[in-house]
Amino acid sequence: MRQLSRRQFLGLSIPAMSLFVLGRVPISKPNVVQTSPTQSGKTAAKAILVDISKCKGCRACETVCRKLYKLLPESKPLDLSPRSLTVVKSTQIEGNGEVKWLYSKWQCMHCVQPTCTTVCPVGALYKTSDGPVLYDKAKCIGCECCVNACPFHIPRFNWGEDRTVKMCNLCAERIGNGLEPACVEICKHGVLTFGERQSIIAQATEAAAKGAYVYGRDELGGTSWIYVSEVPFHKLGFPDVGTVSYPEHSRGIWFSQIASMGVGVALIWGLSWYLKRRGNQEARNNQ
Amino acid sequence: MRRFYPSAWIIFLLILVALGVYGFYRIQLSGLEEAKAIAWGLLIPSYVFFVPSAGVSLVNSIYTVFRVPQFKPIMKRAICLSLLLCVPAWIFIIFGSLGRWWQFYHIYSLYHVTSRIALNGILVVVLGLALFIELIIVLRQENMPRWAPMVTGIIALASVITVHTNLGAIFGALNARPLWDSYLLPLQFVVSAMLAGTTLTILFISLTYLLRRGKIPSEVKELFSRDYRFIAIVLIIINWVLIAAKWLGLLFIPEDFQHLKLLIAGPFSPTFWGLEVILGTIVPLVILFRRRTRQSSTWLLVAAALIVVGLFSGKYDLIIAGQSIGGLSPGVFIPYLPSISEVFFLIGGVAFLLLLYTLTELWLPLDLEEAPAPFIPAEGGGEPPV
Repeated sequence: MRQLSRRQFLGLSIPAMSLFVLGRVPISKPNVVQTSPTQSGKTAAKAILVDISKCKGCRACETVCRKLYKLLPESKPLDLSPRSLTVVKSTQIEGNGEVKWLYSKWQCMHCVQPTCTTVCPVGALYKTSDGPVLYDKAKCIGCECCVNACPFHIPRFNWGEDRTVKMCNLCAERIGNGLEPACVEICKHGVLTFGERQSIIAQATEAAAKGAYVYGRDELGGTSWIYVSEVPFHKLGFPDVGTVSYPEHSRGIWFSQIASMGVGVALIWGLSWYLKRRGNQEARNNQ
Repeated sequence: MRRFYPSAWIIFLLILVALGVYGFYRIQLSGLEEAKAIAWGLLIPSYVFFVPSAGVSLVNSIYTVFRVPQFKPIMKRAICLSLLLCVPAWIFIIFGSLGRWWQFYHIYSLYHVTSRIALNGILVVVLGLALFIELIIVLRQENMPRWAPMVTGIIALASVITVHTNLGAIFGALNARPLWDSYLLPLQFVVSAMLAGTTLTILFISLTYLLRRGKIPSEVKELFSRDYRFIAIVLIIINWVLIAAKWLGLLFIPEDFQHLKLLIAGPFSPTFWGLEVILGTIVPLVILFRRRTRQSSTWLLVAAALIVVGLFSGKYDLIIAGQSIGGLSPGVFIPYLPSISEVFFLIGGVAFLLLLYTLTELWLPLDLEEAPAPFIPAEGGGEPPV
């Protein structure tokens, strides 16, 4: 077996060592900030149960959100935007010979292990222990990585006005003051139920035991919006995002990076070895 | 007869740079509202193309680290080119792509340890420093210890490889984007970086010799037509094997296949098949293999230029198509066309690169045996000697 020269050994080992020198193997835990205690003196993650079968599509939740956060009016938005932090999407469903409309409220899912907080390079997005994922524009650099990283395609970057990320904040201030989010409070049809996440999960699991479909309990490691529906969620346009959170998924890529560095160096070394050998052979032939 | 007039060329480039500044001004005014249906527009593929173009250093490490002697004649120019190629990348990402660019330093002051973009912010600085120091070392080689060029070469190699794998991982880790989500993307970025480095070296250095001296020195000509040609062929094949392997997983899941379909049979198919496959791969391979063309400097230049076009188109298609399906309604295509502001900014950035390259060619001793010479105007004025 041919022995490596000192140069060749260094050429292979330096890239592997560089990761340790950089010392930046990332922590996979999401950025969680402890918020101030509630009036009861305890913090507990909150969640919202959404019963899609009860929604009439009145869009009162859209209106109160826009009013509360002083957003410009937008009539029946089809998609989230800097003006619409929550959108009621309507889907026509055919079944048992009848056609009906089902309405589903869309907004930031406030994931338990958010992708956006993990990828943000400056920590402008952060998860609070109450549940909301919040945004600090003073830190934001506008890279829009959160926009591309979110599996639910939620964040919107407002290029035209103040150049900030726009998304639902679960009415974090109201929650901190012991109130319900504005959309929960305004809903007259009992679609939205606000409470501690464990209690909401229990209600969703109970509904699942009776044959309902549940979304958000396990998706991406769990979200703060748990949907219950009588039809499968793919028919309502909910994305199939899997159950593996981004931090977990991202861990595998680190091994791939290290392996790629090794393969890259090996490729260059292999090319160098071959070209040097060919050059020497040609020099000998010329002599 | 003079072949090249530096002053006229520099003035031309300055005009284009001014156009780029105007594009930046328009971006600040309009906020890219006219074209921001997707998050990452034209300037992100431009950044992703130019940073890997520092893969010139990867190929150059064949001499600086592994001491293959035939690569020596172009070593200094290659290191300089590798450093300069990072400059437009930094410009595109900081001033063209960040919505709140005036706070870009937060990447360093508020460094977020879980973010690959934050890590990339550090790595590109390390890369720039490593290449800069390597350039200084090789330019002043006679005053340096014998081990200094190799050590800086190793550090530069490590920096370049780390940057490219991390850049690939930024995209490869995003499971929200099926076209990007792949464990192979870090390696594919390294390979395409080397290929970009190979072809840009051929392009820049061949054109430099042709414009400055009227011909390419025989040892450089032989290096390009023999060794660089071989490297390019190998890397083209490996690159496409990795791309195919990466996309294999998309074939069997309908929700993911619709993303791939954008490239092979959708709105991006003209650029994919036309620029990436035919012009960027098949035609260059024919040129590089054919006996009549593979020894010709002119045909080698054509092949290199076509490969560069194919690589840029590949990055553009990958990044833009990767974002083109999203929103609340699954399967809805989000059309994107670069705004005039982005195009101006891109032109200005490339012109700035060419301007820097021209100035370094005029002022730095980049030929292997060249010693620095002061600029002495000819009697009665006129152009400096080229």
